[in-house]
Amino acid sequence: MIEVKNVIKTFDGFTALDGASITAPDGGVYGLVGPNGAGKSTVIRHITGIYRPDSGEVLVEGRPVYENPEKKALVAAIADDWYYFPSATIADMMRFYRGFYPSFDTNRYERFREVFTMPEKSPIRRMSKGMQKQAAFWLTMCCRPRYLILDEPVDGLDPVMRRQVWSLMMADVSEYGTTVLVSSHNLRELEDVCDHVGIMNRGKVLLERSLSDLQENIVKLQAVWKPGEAPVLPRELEVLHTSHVGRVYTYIVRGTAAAITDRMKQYSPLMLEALPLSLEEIFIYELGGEQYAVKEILL
Amino acid sequence: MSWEVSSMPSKRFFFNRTLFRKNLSRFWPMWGGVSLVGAMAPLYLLLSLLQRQAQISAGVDFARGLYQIATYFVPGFTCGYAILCVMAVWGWLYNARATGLMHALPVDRTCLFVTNTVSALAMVLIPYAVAGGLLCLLALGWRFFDLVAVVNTVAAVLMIAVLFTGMASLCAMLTGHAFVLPVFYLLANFLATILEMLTTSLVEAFLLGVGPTRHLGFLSPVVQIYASFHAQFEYLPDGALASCQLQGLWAVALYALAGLGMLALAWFLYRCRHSERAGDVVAFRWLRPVFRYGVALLSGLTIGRLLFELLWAPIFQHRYYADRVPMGVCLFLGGLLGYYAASMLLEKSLRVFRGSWRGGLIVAAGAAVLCLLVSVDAFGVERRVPALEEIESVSLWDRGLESGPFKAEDNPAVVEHVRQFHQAIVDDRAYIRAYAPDFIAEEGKAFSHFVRLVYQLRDGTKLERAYDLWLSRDRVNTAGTYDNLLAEFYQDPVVRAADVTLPEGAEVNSISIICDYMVEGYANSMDHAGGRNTETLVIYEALQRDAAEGNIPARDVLQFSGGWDRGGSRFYLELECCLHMGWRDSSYKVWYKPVYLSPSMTNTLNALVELGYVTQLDLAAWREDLAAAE
Repeated sequence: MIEVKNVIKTFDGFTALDGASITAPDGGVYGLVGPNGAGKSTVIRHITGIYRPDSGEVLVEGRPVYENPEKKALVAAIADDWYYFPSATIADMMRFYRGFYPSFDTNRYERFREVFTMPEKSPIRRMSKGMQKQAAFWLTMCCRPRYLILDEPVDGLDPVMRRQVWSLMMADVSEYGTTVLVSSHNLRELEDVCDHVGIMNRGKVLLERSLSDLQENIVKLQAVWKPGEAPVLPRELEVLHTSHVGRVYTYIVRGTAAAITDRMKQYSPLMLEALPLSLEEIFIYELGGEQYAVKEILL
Repeated sequence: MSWEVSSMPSKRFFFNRTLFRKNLSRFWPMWGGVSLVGAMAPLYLLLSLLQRQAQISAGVDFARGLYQIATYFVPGFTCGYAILCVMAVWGWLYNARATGLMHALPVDRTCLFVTNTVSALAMVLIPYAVAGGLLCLLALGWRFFDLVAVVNTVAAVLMIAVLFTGMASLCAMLTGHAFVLPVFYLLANFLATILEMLTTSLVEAFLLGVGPTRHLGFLSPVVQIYASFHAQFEYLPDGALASCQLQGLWAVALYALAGLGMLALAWFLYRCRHSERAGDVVAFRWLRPVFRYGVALLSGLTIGRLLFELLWAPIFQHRYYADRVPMGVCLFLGGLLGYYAASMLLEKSLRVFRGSWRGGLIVAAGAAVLCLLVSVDAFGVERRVPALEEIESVSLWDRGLESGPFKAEDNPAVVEHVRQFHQAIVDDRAYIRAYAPDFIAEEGKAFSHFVRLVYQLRDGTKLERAYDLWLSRDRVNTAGTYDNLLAEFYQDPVVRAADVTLPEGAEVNSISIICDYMVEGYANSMDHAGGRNTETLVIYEALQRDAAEGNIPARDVLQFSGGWDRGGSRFYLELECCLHMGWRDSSYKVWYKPVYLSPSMTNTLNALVELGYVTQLDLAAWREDLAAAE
């Protein structure tokens, strides 16, 4: 299990993490989402042992990961800006990783040649961004990490390769119990793979739940009222957002669909329908409460 | 693969072979190229041996060659090359992405540090190993191998490599910017010397007689190693090399220890260092004020001094010594420039002026305090005259007079006289500062002297003072003035004898005889008594006999030649003196010493006559001329 407990991190007076806490359970896929500058990459760099927290703890399997080679050997990461040595080839980098990760699987490396059809002996710097990303996946997955940390992992990959990469990772999750922590802006993609989600903003984790809990606890209601009779909803209904087109009103309300629908029926709508929210919508509405600057434009 | 295997508790490793191999393989062109150039030396020797042109036939010649390489080449080259190797292995520390990769690897920082340090050391040493190994093979093949010399040289190379690698590694940890690292390294090597020079320059602008000091020279390793690490050679009478020894290896060993200390400090700093400091000029927050105000200080002492010398002094200052306020203002302006430059580097922005008044105030206060402390001689540097019991020996140089060192045990009266003379200068410093002779009105009345005093103190330190003094005939006749005391010093028989005697260890190479009174001798305006031959020695011994018999006349302190070139004609000897410096086989000091002849120096005059340089008739003409001038 990966635990980030009340971590504070400042860079020359700028607070990048302000008491962030995350718990990524073993054997699942944890999606870390948040707007730009929310602190996602900073959290990831803490989990991979690059950054030392100013305060708080970052634990892997109950032990601090910073300066702990034993725990770091269980973690492999693909950073958004993955680094390779200038003039290094994939084969060079493979030998490099193999020298550090005790669990590096050379057989898997050989097998992945069929998946990642790239020139092994060409300098990585001459490859396209997408191919460099593939190289990163190839090498990182061969480290056989127990914890795979991904920062914007599929940026630059074509749709086929995206699917292939996700399927490889999901296979590791199901077969070996690998825990994947992934930060991405592609919420539709995360929705398909994540079972836990943490939403970050301004260095804090606003909420952290399993995706199903999250989707069950917020509901989109569409109601049609008689002309001029749209009611003012009571305060106990935690309405996050209201909009209407003609007589059709859309409400985003916190709570379970059944309870909210029962409560709304008291106002005798002409038509009432509860719809599930996508992760993207949850993200937007949750951040709306945090005065997320872009909300009006998005809505 | 099962998790049980991959998650077994791992042993703690202090070295990673993969990283070591990676370091060497990535930078092989660097150490390979240097090795190739280094291999030219054995290749040249091989070709020389094959053509029988090599001046090397015995172990001692081989040792000389090795020692010359170790003392002349190794310190300077290693100083420059070590920083390249350290920059190569630590280059990733200055790039945030690369730092991310390296620090995410499952090794701790100790392991990274040890591996990188060993890699850097290996890169430094491989070229030496290649060149040295080939040289040794040649020596073994031609049977002039000297094991002791090889061991000494290897030890010296290793220690020098440790020193400079340690120093470069420490600098590497202090900065987060690749371009700043060589600057830090340069400063680490020469800052003490530079700072001492700049401080001395400031002190000289205010204080009387204070000259260059070398108290902090030991903090500039490359300078100090060149000063103390050398080969000592002994030659047979026929000029063949008898033996050679490496001197000052202990000093190199001390510096190597310091290098190890710096490595330990670098390791400690690396463990404390934040990864996010990649790209910063200074890697630690606590070091930022040191950098900011350190640059301000250096800038104040250089740019500020330059401003003063270029803008203020030539236009507004009419005296030799500086005024406090303009100097303080110039130091402040220079310091402020450095302060803002450092701030811009630290902030990586040009917008550093807002809210910087506190820093400016500190720089202003620093400039004011520095100026005040120096100008009022807060530490008593200018006033310092050592007590008699502190002095082991003293030397005094005036124009044409080179006397000493006079040991306190042998000549306490002379030493005390010099001390009193020094005290008189210190007491008269207000007069010296204020006195500016009117060259037209006082022509022939004021005489410029540059007097240098060097005390060797009993605690092993040296005290040096150098004064530009004006002497006047009136003050020479006034008891207690420095003019009077210097004139009395000139009269002292011991000083007169010392004036024609070379210092310990020096020898006379040749003697020129300058004589304008020739009637029938063959010494015309200039003649030489040859190289270091019998005639030179005969003349010098005669001179020494005159000194011992008290025949050397007292010189007139107000005349350069002591008054013995009256009438516009000259008769003097010019001794070419040579002093082997002792620490470098080919390093020696040569200077020329004029000895003005007087009729009382009978032994010398007789020797010149006997050797045929002058005749009695020449001497008679000279004496007549002197008498006429009197």
